[in-house]
Amino acid sequence: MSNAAAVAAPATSASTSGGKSKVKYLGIFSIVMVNVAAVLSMRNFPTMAVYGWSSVTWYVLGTLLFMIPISLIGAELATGPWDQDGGVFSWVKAGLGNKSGLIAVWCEWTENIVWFPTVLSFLATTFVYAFNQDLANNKLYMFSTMLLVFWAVTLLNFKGVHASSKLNNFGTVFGTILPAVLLVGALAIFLFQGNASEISFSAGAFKPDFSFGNLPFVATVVLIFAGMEMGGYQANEMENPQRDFPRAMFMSAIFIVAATVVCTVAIAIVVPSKDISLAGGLMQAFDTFFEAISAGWLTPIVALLVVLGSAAQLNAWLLGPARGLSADKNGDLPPVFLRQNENGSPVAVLVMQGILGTLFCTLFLFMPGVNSSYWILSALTTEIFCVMYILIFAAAIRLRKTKPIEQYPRAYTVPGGTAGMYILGGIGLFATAFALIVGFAPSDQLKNGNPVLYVVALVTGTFVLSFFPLLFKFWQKPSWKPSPGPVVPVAAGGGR
Amino acid sequence: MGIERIAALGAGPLLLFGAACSSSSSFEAKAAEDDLYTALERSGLQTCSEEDLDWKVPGFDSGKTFKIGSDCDSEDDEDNRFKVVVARFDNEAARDLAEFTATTGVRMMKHASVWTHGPYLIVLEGEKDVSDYDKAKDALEDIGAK
Repeated sequence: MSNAAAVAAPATSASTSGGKSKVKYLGIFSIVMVNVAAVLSMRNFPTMAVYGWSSVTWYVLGTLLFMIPISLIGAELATGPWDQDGGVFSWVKAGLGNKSGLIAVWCEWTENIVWFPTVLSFLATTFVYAFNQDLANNKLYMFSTMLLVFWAVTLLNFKGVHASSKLNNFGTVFGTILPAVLLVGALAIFLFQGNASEISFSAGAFKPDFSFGNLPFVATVVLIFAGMEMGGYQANEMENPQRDFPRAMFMSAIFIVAATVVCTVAIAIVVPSKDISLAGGLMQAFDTFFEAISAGWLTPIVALLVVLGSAAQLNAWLLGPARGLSADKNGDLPPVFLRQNENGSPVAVLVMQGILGTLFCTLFLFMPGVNSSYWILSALTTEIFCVMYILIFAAAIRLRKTKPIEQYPRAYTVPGGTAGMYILGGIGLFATAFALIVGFAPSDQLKNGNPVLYVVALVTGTFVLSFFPLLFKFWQKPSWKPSPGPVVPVAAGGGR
Repeated sequence: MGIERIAALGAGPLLLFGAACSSSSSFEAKAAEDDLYTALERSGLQTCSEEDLDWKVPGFDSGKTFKIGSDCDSEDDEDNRFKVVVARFDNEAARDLAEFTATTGVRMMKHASVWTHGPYLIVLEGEKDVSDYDKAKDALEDIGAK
């Protein structure tokens, strides 16, 4: 398939039935599942549960500073009359130009690659929880399971967004929502049995510690709901994205915040904080949780469900940024990035990230010292993640000026007119810029490392990785620009 | 495809930097649990409470969780106490995996650091940026924990 055809072809798949062409669209449910899979991570619940009732206040802060701005602004950006092929790439491109769009989606894609070993190792160790935990000590088991799952999900995404969506829907319902429901049910039984809560309830218990020393933690809280933009990569697969995408964003946001708060508080009420540890992880907390109601047999079952949820999470992050990266029509990236197969899947980018992900998994498992220093790479990618969000919020604000809603009507606009956008965009911009700056502060984990060298390495790394796609300019050739082919309308009602 | 090579080259120095300042301690190191307690005591810290760990984590052998502070008798000092988790593992792969799990979650804690000392994984989890926490870090460095 030529680049032009690949770019112009609609990703929405069509099937022929009885001589009639039937176009398949993604429904609101599928987009909600993409967002829930991407954002709702059970792995964070035990760690946040340590803060007891004050975790609720931290979550409210994350909701006010980030979740609400990104959800409302994402809904507006995804329903504007500009190209919508590449989610974050298209949004930032519309507001700040093609190169900024590339930087934004590149940041998300790079963050993703470094994250893969984290989720894959979690998935591999959780899987054996139900059978034989000692297998987790076997590097061959870990390596083969991590790569098997990684490449299986990658190959599934070769089949296009609809095949990917099936795993998202199934995995999120059974792997994230069902365990959350089980937690809430178990909490009800725990309280019904007359057990005392491990955290005492009072107004003061909700008060978080806002001392100066906790500023880095505030920055973490800001990004706790990161990933809400993931549905945007699939917005043009909806039949009526103008109407349905904002609804999907609101439903996802409400569900994610509610589930996160309820599950965290449930763990805090049942599991003593002494039994929650960074090293013990999620399954240790679940084990104590279910043992408290004499239902320890549930833990292995929940472990398998959580594995399913993690696979859905991997799937959501694996496809979205890859689609965004393959949406460049300006010739700023080598043509290999744009290559799509007949299912509209960005196969070349998927293979590239597969190779890079494999490389990082190998380093993580077999290079001595890498797993203990991996947090530095995570810190770096968190920084470039902030760069992406800063660009999204800046683009949304600028679009109100360069493409006023009177001339460029959006199906959904954030409440409060232009002032509303400035306030919401300003809050999001401030919060993510704050997270970026505070993120440069040396972590406690640095121990005896040189803090100055750490900060210099982090700032340089953030700068180099964020602006990396601009380096392609040096090798850019006129042939990189896709030739204008027959443009096929993308899905329906897209305003494009 | 040169891009992944370039990206790997970019990541390499960072990983090496990380490995230089936070690599794990040798599993065979002659590390005794008592070294840790002695070092903490020497730095002026007291064990205010301790409980056994009952983890179902791969390779976990035994462990304890402590509340540490400068003055266990003082109510004013309660806010300054922090948690020390000491877990012994029966093999290096299990210890390293637990270390990785802990380090990836560190950003979710206000103050936390993860250490290894022979077969032990040690996690300091604090609530506040207090001098006691720094004393504990110094004590761990003194005994060669990494």
